[in-house]
Amino acid sequence: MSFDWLAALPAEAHGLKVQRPVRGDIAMPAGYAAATPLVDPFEAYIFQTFRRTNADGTVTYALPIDDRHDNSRGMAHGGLLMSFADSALGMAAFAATNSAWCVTVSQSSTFLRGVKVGELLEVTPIVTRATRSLIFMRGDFQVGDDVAFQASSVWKIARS
Amino acid sequence: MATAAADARHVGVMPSHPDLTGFQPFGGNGGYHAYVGQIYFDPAKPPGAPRRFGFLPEAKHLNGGGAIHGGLLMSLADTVLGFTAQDGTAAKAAATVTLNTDFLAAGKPGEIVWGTAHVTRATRSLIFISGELTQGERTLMTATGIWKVLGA
Repeated sequence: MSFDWLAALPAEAHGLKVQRPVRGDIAMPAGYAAATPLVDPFEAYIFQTFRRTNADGTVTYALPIDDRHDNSRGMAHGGLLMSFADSALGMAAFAATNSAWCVTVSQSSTFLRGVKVGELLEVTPIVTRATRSLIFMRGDFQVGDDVAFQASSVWKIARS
Repeated sequence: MATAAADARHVGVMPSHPDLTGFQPFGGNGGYHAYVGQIYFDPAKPPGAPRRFGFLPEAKHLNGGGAIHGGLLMSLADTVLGFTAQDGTAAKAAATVTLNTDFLAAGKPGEIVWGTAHVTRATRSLIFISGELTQGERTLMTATGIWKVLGA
């Protein structure tokens, strides 16, 4: 397994310092590339996410649930799932707005079933609606074909 | 690269910030809390007022814009409201079913984020909670959620 992409990270993206993931041992799932550049220190600290562009042009983000995420019952902590939603829906909003800096105004999260350490959580974010100042996002977060978690969020375009 | 020993450094660590004197670390059993950062609660729940929770945000909790990451604030809300779900009812264990969070203001590092919550309604199987996170005079987040009583 190759971690060459770590060495290839740029120093800067969108005028912000690119963060290195604190864990270099999270294996890239088959068919995915690194979801970089990562500019949020918190995201670099808590997880490693990956992205894949599908044949239909949609983008899928993936998060391997690792031992850092354990709620001490062998399942991912709810806060971790919501953090991934904020990250993935945010990256999709960023892409949908031609790289505008967006901030979360509101997020609604629904927990359908627990996600175990070792499972891979995948989401293909959907832009529900985009106005001049707000982006409405949603996503079903799945383990295989099973929807484990759902999130919808409203983003404010802070600056273009 | 983080190691198991490094991950465990927050476990059971008593608060060093003077404003958190007397507070107890939440969840001394490792896992996500221990890794992300210790959240503290006031063991002396004042009568007629909600229990207080405190968290000291550091550089590792920020987004690229220098504000506290939304995921961290939602993690705190999940813990504060979830703790209150069990604290304020007879439920031995409860799991989050929904959590709605509004981001009112950006949080900054180095200043304690305070959390409080209260039970709006509790049925045999569901607990409805509302809460907020503040920093100084500013409300950072308001949150409402529904918890399922496990086994009910």
